[in-house]
Amino acid sequence: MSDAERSEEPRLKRIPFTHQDHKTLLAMCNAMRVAAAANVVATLINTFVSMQSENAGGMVGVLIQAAFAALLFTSASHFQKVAETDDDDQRHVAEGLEQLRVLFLLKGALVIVGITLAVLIVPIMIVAGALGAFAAAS
Amino acid sequence: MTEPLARIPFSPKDEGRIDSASRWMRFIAVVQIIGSVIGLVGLVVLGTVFSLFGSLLFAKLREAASQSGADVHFEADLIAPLGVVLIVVGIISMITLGVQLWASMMLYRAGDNFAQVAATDVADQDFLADGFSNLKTYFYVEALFAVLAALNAVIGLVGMGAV
Repeated sequence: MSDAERSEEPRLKRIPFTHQDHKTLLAMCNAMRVAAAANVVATLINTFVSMQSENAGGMVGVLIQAAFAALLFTSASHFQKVAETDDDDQRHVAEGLEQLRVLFLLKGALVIVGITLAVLIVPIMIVAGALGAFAAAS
Repeated sequence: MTEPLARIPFSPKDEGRIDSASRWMRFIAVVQIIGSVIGLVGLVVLGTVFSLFGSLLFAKLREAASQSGADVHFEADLIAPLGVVLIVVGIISMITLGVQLWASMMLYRAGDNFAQVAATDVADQDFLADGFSNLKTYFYVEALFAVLAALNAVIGLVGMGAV
């Protein structure tokens, strides 16, 4: 079957998940929401602390955590519809996984940026330290 | 009982997105696994070093205290409480890292399951169900750590207010 034919196939309204699978989905949705909500609470408190010390880095962390929370909540709502309705299961599964894709992509991007900075900063610090020691000795 | 679907007619675009999601899940899982393993190895090394050289350090401190004439009950006032604190912190850290390692392995398995959904048409529904089950475990652990982080933030805030 060609990609064009596969793109035009009708989506499944109902994926015949078992009752146990539905329970698993709902439990996963609840865990995602708890994780998102708890992270938002921790982030809001840390925002307050950052504002007291005028720490700009804290504000960036807030925005990132807010984005993660939004993605988790949206993904959870799609998966909940898969468990509780038989309207458009396939679309909700695809949309839920798409939200998770963006979430893990953002986390991956942050990891890559962090590793890159660490790899760049360590040699710079070593060179700066050596130059400082040389300047102090002379 | 309905047979599980061998193929769910995801569009090529959706399959591409599911495949991408699986790759990012496995990437994050690998990073977390490496971090957890490094942490566990580091804890073991620290514990070993402390047990080998800690008694030597305390002997030197005791000698310095007795020479200075200070009235310090080293064993009762310093060594015993410090030792208990270090052991408790070490145990909690190892449990935390172990749980994080296990959750990361669940995330990796979920990524594997979703990759099978995108790449094959043999058992899409079963792979989806297994993927959701593994994701559920991962998010349970994430929720636990997030709640502990929130409690920590609240305690810190209360402490700030008290100061």
